[in-house]
Amino acid sequence: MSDKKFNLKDSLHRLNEIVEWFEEQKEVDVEAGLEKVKEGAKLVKDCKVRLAEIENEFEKVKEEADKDSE
Amino acid sequence: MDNDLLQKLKAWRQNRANLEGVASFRVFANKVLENIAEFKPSNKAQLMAIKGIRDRKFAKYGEEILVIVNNSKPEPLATSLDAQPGKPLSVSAYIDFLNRQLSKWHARIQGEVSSMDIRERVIYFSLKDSDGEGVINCLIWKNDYKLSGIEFEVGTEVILEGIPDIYKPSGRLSFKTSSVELIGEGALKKAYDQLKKKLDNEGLFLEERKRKIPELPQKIGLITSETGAVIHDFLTNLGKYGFQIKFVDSRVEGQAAVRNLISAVDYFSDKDIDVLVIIRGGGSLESLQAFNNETLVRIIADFNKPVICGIGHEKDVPLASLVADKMVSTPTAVAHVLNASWQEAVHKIELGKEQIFNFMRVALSERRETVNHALNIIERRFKSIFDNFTQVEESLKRSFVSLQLRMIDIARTLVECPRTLYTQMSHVLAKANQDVVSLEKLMVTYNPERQLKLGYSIVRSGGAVIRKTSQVRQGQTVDVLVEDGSFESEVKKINKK
Repeated sequence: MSDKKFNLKDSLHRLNEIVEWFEEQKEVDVEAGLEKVKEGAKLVKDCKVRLAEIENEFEKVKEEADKDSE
Repeated sequence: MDNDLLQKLKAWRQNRANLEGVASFRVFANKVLENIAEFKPSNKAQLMAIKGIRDRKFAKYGEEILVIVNNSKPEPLATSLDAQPGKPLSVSAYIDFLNRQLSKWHARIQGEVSSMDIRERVIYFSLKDSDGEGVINCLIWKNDYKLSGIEFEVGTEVILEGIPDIYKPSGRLSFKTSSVELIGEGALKKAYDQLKKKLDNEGLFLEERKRKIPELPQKIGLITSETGAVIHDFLTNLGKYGFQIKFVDSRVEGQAAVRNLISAVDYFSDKDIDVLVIIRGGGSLESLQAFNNETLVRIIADFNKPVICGIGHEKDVPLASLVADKMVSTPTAVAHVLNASWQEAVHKIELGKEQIFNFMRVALSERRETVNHALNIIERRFKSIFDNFTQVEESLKRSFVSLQLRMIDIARTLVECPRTLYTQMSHVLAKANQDVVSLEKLMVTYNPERQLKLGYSIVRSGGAVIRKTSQVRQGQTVDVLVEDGSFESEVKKINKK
């Protein structure tokens, strides 16, 4: 998951950029649009993989935790 | 393991920590002290061999540790007075023995502060019964005093926690106080209100101070008690988004929790986390007092990462919650806060996908329309060209037809012409014939010679026909024309009418 160094935040950002790109176009250039769609589709796919159920990791640290302050 | 040595090391550590004003685990972790007590290193090399002791630690504490370890060896510490029959103890050894025994009598005692002597590092004071005669000498390290967040005044009612201890140079017994708490809701409420006002004036609760909880947090620092439903509620409500939770177990109940909580927060200060979570179930002002501790509250306010507090409470919101970057009142709600941006991400992805495909669909259908439109235009243009052709063709055809008709007409005319000519000529000729006949008749009728036959004559002179007397003179010769010839005659007399 995170070892692939896939960055969900960046991917979401990029996805948003693509949406904005489309919004900005008065007339969408079909070629360029198709490129964006291709990229977007990949981002969506990757994001979905990342957002699929991933078990949380739980680790108890600082075992002694300075508990014996007495 | 040498437990006596371990206790000594721990006592030494506590003092160092107090002197430095840091949490004791910052000096040495328990594990390190345990290893020292186990292996009893007697020189630098041996000490450095213990995990957790590096150059920096050694330079700072090495000598002191070695002194403690080495001193504990030669003098067998009396654990029971009977163990030394006949042989008297030194005063120091006896006091050491007593202190070891006394250290087992950890206690909480209640009374009111009756006198105070504030020194640089330590505060000496005495605690007496509110309605009795008992008095005990006490001391508290300045550090612990500050940590308690309580201002001592003569008459302040408190509960002290600590151990009795005899100070060797004076032989005086003091209650070594490790923590102080106020007594009763009233006092707590007053302290709470005062501190709240103070922090508020400093602007510590201001909204603009608060940091945003990072989007898609993943590394969570968690501080709470290991026991109880709180941690369970938190973990079960956390979405399965691959959170990495680092958990530090801490006491959360009463004043005693302060030190634990501070050290836990402190622990996370240099750890790689996105957000720090502090949770606890609800409780009274008294049970929550640690979360109203000034030192803890300030540490939370100054923490270098966003902090979420999920501390249940009754009327008064814990000050720790008020300074936190985000505050909710249940562990479940904290879990929801952490889940939020993940859930939103799921939604964003769906939305983004929809939008992109929609845009493209629209773009494509616009293209199709443009193409169709162009096609239509071309079709119409061509059609109009062909239409023109047809029109021209038709008009040409029509022209031909009319030409043909005309030619047929002409041809017919040509064919009919001779006949007409003939007919007309016949007419003309017949008429001419008639005319000739009638002319003949007329000519017969009107022929002067015919008149001559009838007896009339024509008189002429010089070629002209004489009609009037004025044309002649007396004596003039005239020709008289009669039927069978002429004769000359002379005008004798002219008789005018």
